[in-house]
Amino acid sequence: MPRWHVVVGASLSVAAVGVWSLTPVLLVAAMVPLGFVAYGAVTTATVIDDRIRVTRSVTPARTHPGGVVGVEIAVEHVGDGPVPDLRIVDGVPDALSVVEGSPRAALGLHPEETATLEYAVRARSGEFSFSEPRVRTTSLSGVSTYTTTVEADGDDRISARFGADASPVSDRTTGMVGTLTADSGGEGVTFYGTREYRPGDPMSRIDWRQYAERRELTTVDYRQQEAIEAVVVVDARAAAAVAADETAPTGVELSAHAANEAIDGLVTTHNRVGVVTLEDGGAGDREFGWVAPGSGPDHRSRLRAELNRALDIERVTDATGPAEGAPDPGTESGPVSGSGSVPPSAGRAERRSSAAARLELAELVDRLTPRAQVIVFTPLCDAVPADVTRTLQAAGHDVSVCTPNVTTTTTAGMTLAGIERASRCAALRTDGVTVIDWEPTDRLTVVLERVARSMTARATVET
Amino acid sequence: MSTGPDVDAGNGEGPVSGGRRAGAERALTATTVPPQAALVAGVLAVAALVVVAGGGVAGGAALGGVAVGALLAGTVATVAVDRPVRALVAGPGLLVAVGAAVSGPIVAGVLVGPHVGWVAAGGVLVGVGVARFRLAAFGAGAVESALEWLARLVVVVTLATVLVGAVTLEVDRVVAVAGGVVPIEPLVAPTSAGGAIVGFVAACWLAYGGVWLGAVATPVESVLSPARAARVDTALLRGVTVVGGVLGVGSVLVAAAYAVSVSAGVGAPVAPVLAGVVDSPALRIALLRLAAAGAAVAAAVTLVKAAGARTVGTRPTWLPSTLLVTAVALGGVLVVGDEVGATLAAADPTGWAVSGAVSVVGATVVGLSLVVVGLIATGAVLLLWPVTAAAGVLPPRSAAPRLLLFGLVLAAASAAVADGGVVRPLLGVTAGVAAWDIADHGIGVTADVGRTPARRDGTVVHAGASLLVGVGGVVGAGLAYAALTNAVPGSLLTAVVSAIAVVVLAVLLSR
Repeated sequence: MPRWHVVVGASLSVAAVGVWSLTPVLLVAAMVPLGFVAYGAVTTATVIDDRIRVTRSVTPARTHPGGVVGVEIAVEHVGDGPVPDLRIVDGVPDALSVVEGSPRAALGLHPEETATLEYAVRARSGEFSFSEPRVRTTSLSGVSTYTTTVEADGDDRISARFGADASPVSDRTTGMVGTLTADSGGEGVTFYGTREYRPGDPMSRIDWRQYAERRELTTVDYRQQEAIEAVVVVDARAAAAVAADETAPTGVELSAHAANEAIDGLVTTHNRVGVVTLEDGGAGDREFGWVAPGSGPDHRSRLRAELNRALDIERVTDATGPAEGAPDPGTESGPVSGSGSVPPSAGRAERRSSAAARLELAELVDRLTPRAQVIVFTPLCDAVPADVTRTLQAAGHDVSVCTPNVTTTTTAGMTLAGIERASRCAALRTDGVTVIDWEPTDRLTVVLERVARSMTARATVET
Repeated sequence: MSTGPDVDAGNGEGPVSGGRRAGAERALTATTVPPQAALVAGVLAVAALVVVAGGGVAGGAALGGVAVGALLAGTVATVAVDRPVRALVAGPGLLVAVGAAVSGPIVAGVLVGPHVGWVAAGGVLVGVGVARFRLAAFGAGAVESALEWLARLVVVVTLATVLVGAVTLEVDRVVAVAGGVVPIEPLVAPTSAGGAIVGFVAACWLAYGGVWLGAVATPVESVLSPARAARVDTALLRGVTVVGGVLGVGSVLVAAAYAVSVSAGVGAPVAPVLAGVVDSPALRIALLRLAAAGAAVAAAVTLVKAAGARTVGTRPTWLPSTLLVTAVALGGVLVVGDEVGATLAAADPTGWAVSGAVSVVGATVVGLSLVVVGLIATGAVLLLWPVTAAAGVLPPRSAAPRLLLFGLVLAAASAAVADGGVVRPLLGVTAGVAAWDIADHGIGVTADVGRTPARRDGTVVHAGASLLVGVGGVVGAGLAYAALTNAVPGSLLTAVVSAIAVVVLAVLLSR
């Protein structure tokens, strides 16, 4: 019993002082610590395999990536006799982070008593299973322990996908809603200005008050509500599937999440929206996924399906392991890749900006209509998204880049990756591209408002 | 049950559950005690300490020791916090706490009695342990950070000592002492006109060399913006040129004029003035001081540069607190340096070492040197922490509960030896073990479920059980003592039976 060695040592020390100083009371006092040791020896931990029942409920069990999911654990004592010290830790999936409360507790339970603990985790794209809660009981003296796992009844998984029933848009406003109005006068409801009457102007838009005062015919213009055509590009390559740590969302997840919110805002305001997913092309595979711009609920479903497919690509990459030419796992080469098992495949990604990749980019450029505005969501972990952005800009499109920062300064490799990313952002800005940097502390709504402002500003310049 | 159950005989080292996030949190906080357990163990330990001390002066000494121990733990944990004000307060506080923790029990033991001194020492241990219950910084290398701060402070005070020494150096004494080895006496006290001229010129050029060294070594580019650095650099260069003109060229001209006036007898009206300048020992000593100060500044800057410019700006902030301590030490030495020097000289067993050092380098430098020695001694005291940790006496995980146990056992043994009766020693030992048990169990809970679990019910039940066992232990041991002493008058039987019982129980229970 290692824990009590210090007490035995104290007992012998007291006895030694008692002998040395010929003080009998110290010899008696030296027996007191040994009483504690004896107390520890006669108490044993409770074996609780069949004496507790654990029930887990997850609310909601199905959500969107980035959503907060509440978890409630009910621990019920169904046996006899009290359990004075029961320590329980729920088996939270390793990839998910606890954002509120704690999945751990130290309980004292009487028979038929139920203890409840609540916590919340932030969902990531995909399906995650809870492992069995681990439980430890100790004896009253704390000397003897019994450790085991118990099967939890109820929910055991969290699912996060983009879908109509799991979209966050229904209950809150995104930063994109209501901001994309062209800055030009015409038909509409909001006053824009007045101008000289031109033959053919409708009678209803003539400013009769002005006519009554000055006998001049003027026409009232209203702010035009013009639908724009936006193409949202999501970087779903393995090089973007990196994260600041093992529980943080990857660059692909953040990009897809932001893209989903932006698409919801654009579709809600009756704009035409398309999606492009940048992918790692293999033999015979396409370099990018494509959903042509459109509008309406059915089209919105197709856009969501494409975003879900982009996230599935990331999970497949995670499962298949590191890409050829990628650095060894565990080196300080940059942010954590995927779920922590896959290192960044920057080398392969760099090679993709080859002649073959540019040909596919040319095909993408051909598919975009000249008036299409492009929003690129990418963590800018390598040069490929910047190359794509420059190509689209050179083709005459207005391009904004919204880039979640997945780098940190915890290691030299991470710091270097952050410097490289900052350098790419600066280079794009120098080339005239609007780059919206999405730091982990920034709210997505605010970030999307900045994206929308950049698009509105361009619309102003155009008109 | 997916994995087989296992029953541990020990306290269950390691967490209940895996998980990298939880593990990272526990690594920092696994040495802290939950609030309820900390409260029960802390109150029990402090109350028992006061009772064991016996009240009165001894009780006050015990409480004072607890306060000093808490201050020591708090300052050690705070000196590494990256907040300027906290670091500024914690640095000097650390020195005060270490000094009080070491000298307090000694002074109490000498002035009042050994028992009070031991009780105060036990109070210090209890205070450190109780404060450490909730200080997670100890799990993150706080002691090592405090030692690092002390090392930097020693360097800063040493540099200040060297600089002050360069200014206050008694050059004539140094020349007198070193003159036997190196023929430098003519530099200060010339015996001929030719020697006076050469010595004057040499002193001027040495001073110019010191100014040049100091100016060259000044890290202008490192501490100023490029534009401002360029201006300051220009000003420095101009200043060095002026000094060079005055000391270098001017000294040669003055020496030449003096030589002409002496040899040819011309310029009689200015000859006394030139002689006053060239022959003046005070001027030469001032020039040599200037040379020494320049060399000291150059050496200090070079040392800092060698350590790396980033060292100065390393977080947590350490420079303000070290400069504050250095300033306070310098001010204190200037105010009471003479009295301290006289006291030390009177107590000097050699009879010449202190007085000789004071006569050569001055009381201020001797005083600052003693401050450096004191700081090194403070570091040695703090080094006891990692040394005892490495030896297994105070392992990082359970150091706090053990400090409570050791403090109360120390106080109890002292009370028994000082004829503190039966109850006080028994109470002290029992309370020490109970407080240790409650706190150590709490650390195990923290290690398993983290510092902020959803619920934490088990610690209170365990604490109650430990207190009950403790009460039973005191009563049982008291009855055993009474029975043994009543059976046979005198203490021999009691001692023999108790000693045999202790050894047998210890051997049996340690298996």
